[in-house]
Amino acid sequence: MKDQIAISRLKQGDLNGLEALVRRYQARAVHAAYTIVYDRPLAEDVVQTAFVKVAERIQQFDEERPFAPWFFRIVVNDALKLAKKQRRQVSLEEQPDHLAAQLAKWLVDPGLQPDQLLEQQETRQIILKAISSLPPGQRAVIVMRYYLDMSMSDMSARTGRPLSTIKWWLRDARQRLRSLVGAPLGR
Amino acid sequence: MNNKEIRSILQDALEEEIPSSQVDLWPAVRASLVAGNHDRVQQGEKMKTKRLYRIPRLAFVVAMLVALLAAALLTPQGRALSQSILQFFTQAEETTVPLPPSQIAAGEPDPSAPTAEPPASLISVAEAEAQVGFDVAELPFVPDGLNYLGARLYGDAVSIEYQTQGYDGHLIIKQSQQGFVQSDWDKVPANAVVPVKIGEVDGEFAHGTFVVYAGETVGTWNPDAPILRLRWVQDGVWFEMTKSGYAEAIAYLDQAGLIELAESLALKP
Repeated sequence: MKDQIAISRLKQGDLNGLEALVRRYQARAVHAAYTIVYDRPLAEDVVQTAFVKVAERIQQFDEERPFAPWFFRIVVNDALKLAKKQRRQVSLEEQPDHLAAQLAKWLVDPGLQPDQLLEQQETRQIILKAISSLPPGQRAVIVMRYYLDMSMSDMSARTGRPLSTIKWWLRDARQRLRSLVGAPLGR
Repeated sequence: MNNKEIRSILQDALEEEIPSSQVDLWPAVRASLVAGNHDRVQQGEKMKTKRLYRIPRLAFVVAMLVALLAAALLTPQGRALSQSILQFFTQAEETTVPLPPSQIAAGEPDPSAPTAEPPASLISVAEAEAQVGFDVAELPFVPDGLNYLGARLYGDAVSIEYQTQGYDGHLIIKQSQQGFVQSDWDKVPANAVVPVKIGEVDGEFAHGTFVVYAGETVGTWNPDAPILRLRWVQDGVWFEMTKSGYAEAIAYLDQAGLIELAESLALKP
């Protein structure tokens, strides 16, 4: 069932429409929320609540517009609010290691060959650990940019922040990662 | 590596952490809807679209409006906010302002007369934040042609200051939760106030200042004086960005240049 049809059905009160949306977007949404709150049950709560909000607000939604950006905005905003409350961070400062240093280099200079840096399965986990060491707001921009593939102008529009601020947040996020592991400056 | 590749690696990492096949929120979502409104949710049945929370929400909105109105009328901050909503610069009706008697020159200067207070000491932004109790927005970089000096406190306001190498140009960014400190000299003739947008936020720009020419007893608006000011309010904080001086190194900081800088201000995480 396409999004437009699912939304149309949901607007008519048919929960099969919502179920289709849940099945389509739940995993991606939980992943996005998890990257911000770093707690699986909390991430699932955030997404569950977001779908309930979708059901409650669907009459306000313009079917001609894409559903995913609207929905993920709810998810990211709610996850961010929760993360700010939780302030749960796993600090890389406490456990710098070679893999983390490689990760920081990669985030700072994506020109490095990923195969050299990310060939080991555990290295992927380092990515999550490194992101978790960032403040919640920067985690959110990393998620929006690198996971949800939003353009910076989209992020600017959805967060209500100037484009220059978004750019700075991303740059600062990369720099913070770099400083956490003491890696040399890439660019 | 492009964004798609980065995303792919992130997806792999997240998939390892939480396999998509293990995510099944539908029963919980459905249960939440059923628990929240028994009338409207049945699989395969029509939901009632009655807005159960409309009246409480309306009452809440009205209560908030009343509270905001009261705050606007009864508290100094509220009055300042109300004023700032209408205008950021206090507008002068004339292009001249009378000098107070104490400032009208009378013969030779009196050496015993009080001089202007020296500026407060320069401190770090973190120290300033600790003093004023709010997070201060900062530029992400030192603008071209300027050196960073530091922050100063002016009562409830924090000022972040930059200066050119030759000391002939300054950039000062003031922030306060209590509104702008106003005097007659801060006023701007109505026709010199330019409405602007800083991102999505309304603001005002003014180029010029009141100056006192030799022998005059009034201050006269000089639209060519090298003082450019930008004012706006964002997230409960009053901002004033002032560029002053003739320094060529910061000639690029015109109205558009200041707005661009203002848009880059952000709180450090």
